Amino acid sequence: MMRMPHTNSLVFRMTLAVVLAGSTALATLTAAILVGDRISSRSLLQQRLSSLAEVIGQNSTAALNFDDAPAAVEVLDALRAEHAVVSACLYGTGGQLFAQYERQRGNPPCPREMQPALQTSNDPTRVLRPVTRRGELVGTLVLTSDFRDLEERRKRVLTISSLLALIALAVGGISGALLQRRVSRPIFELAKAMNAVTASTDFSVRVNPKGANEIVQLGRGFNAMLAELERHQAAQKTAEEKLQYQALNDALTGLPNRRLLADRLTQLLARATRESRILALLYIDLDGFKLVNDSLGHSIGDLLLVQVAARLQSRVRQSDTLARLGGDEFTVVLSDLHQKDEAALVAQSLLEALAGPFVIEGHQLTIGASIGISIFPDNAKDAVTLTQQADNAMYASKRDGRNRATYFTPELGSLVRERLTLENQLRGAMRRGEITVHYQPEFDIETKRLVRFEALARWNHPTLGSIPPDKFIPVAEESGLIVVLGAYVMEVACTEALRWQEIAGHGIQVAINVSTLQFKRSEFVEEVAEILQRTGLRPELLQLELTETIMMTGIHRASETMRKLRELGVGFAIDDFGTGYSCLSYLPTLPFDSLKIDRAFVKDLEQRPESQAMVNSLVALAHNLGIRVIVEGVETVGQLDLIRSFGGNEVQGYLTGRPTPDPIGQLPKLLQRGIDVEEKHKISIQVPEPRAVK
Amino acid sequence: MMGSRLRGTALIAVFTLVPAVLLGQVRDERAVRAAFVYNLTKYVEWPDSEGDMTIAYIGEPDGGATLKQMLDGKNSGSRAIRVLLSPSDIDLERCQILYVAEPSTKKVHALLERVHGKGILTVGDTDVFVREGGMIGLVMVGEQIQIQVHLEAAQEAQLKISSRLLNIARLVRLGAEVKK
Repeated sequence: MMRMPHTNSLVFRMTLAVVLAGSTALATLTAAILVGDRISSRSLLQQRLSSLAEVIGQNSTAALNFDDAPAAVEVLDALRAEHAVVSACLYGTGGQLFAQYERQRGNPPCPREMQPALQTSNDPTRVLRPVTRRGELVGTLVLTSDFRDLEERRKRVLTISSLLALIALAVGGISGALLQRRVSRPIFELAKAMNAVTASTDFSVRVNPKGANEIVQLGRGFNAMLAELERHQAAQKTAEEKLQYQALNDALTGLPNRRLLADRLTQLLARATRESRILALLYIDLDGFKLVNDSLGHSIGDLLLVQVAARLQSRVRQSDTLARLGGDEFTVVLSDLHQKDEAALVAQSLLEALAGPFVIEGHQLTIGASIGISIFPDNAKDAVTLTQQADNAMYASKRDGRNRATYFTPELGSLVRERLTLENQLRGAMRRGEITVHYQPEFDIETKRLVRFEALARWNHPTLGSIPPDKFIPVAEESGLIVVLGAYVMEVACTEALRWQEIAGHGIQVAINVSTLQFKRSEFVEEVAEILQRTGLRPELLQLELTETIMMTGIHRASETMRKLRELGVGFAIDDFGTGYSCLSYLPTLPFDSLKIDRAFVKDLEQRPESQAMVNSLVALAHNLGIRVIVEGVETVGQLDLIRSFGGNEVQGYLTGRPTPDPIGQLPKLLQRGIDVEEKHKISIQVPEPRAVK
Repeated sequence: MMGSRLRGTALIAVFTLVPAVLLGQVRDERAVRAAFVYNLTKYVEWPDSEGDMTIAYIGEPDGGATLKQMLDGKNSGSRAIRVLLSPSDIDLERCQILYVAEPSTKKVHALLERVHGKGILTVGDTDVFVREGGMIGLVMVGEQIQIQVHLEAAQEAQLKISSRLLNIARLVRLGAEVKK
């Protein structure tokens, strides 16, 4: 069954074109035929009228000659066979009507006299013919015709041609539609295929183009487009996969990155929870990597990281996840543990893997690692906490001497991370001038005169405010920054001290705290000598204050360093005496000038007789060894009186003078009054002094 | 020259007008007969087609006078018409048309006997004339002159009578009349 095509369809339009073209041709042909027929039939008619007039005229001659009108009428009646002739009028030689013929009644009758106008008229329907016999005029015949007959014939032609046209159009329309169906069917199928492709986005589909050349071309083009789309899709997919890989993997080592680790860890934790398994997270930070990076450049550093990653990878199982978190930090997730001790074994294995030297572009590099271990579910049950704990444990490893693994314990807390933050800040603090030096005066009890200032580092952080030394000095020590910081403070203080001498008239020393880390470095002696030389300060005016921990570097080396400096003229005081790792045995072997009794003994000196006994004994001990005694943290006159009574040599504290950033401004006053205490100090005796800073 | 031509033209006009003039009026029968004779020359072919067209008249004198007056000197085609009112025997044998206006059957018969086979068109004005063997009769029927033709007689005389004339004539055969 034929469906009626939509008016907007190709079938309809092409069929319409066929029908229109056909009907136009038909109409033109019909019109041409009609016009031609009209012209030719008119001239034919006129020719016919002429010959009719000739024949009728000839046949009428006898009737005219012999005055036989009835005979003439008979002759004229022969015209009845001629439908085109409407009337015939036969006139005698005098112009009088002789005989007439009318096809039908109602036709205009013949005028009784011949009208001369007729002779010149070129009315195509009228023929005027003289009738002659043997050369003599015997009358005139006028034939009148009309085109009614022609018109009727034309109407018939028109009717027939219209009928034929209708038939032709119907045939053309139907055959056109059938033909177009062959053209449009492949197009429909193409459209169907396109819709299917659009719906499924499956670009691997191909059509099989059939039919006319254009359709085949269209189909091929469609296939080409599909191929292009497929290629595009494939390329997009590849790009997406690449992007995803890049998003989840470290570009340098190809290891999973922080994001992928977080995903895996979440999954592994879920599984471990389900199956009640133990899981360990190892946080690995390379020791000394920064040194490699800074001294040999980032490209060497990168190559080192790649090799480190490879070595680490060689020691973990397939089921374990090794990831690089960035920089020199790696993580291993051990998901198949039976006991948490196994984690330490793996950590040890990793450390061993890194133990051998790395050879990179001719450089032989040795590197260690600090590892922190956190156990699920013992330490934490979520990925974030687990990671933080492993991180803290790793810092503990660093603090405890590096190249080792440490299990997380709650005692580690979060201090480690805080210190790291301060450390990062501290690196820039000196450069930005945030580290300043304050000076606290020390007085000779006997002479009551100002004998020295102790240099104390202060950190004024732009956003954190004033950071207490007991917070940032340990950080500086752990991170090694203390070396730089100490040198910086020493240089500033020596420069400052040089100016005091001009004002005072007698020598005023500067006391500078030296960290054990600083002291144990082999370059320490040279550094001090250089600073003295650079600043121009006399070595006798410099007093280095060391803590008892210098013993840990080895008594022999410590005494060696001290002796070298003493040869220059530098003096030494033992700081915080009595608080730490005190080993009285080493005191006589080291060339100390003074001993500083810690404020802890002074704090409740007036209240506790034991404290008084301790200080008294320490003073006696020191004096026996030929060492002077300095007491710090003196806040009250009572304390001062007791210390004086014990024989202490010098005092330092809020009672006699707070640390000041401007010692030169304070100097005249301090020189003048000496140890004598102002009234307000006597009154504000209860104000506790903050712990002295270094 | 000019005068004779003008006169001739005038005459033609007069004669050709005759039938119309007579139509519906008092007929000058003699004039009509003369005109009919003239017209007959156009529908008949003689064996010899050259020389004058001689019309010999025998009978009632008035008719002859009218004939002579109207036709003598006139041309029929290329032939000049001569009208002989009292033709001799030789004239009778040499004329082209013999007009007999004689009521006597005997006389008519004799005349027709004399010209038989001589190629002479015989014309009379009674119906008896044709029955007696004349070729053409111009017979008064009512108010009209009827043309009667005896075709066999004409054919015997080797005269050809135009079919057009025959179309309007009444054909007469010996012993029987055939109406056209």
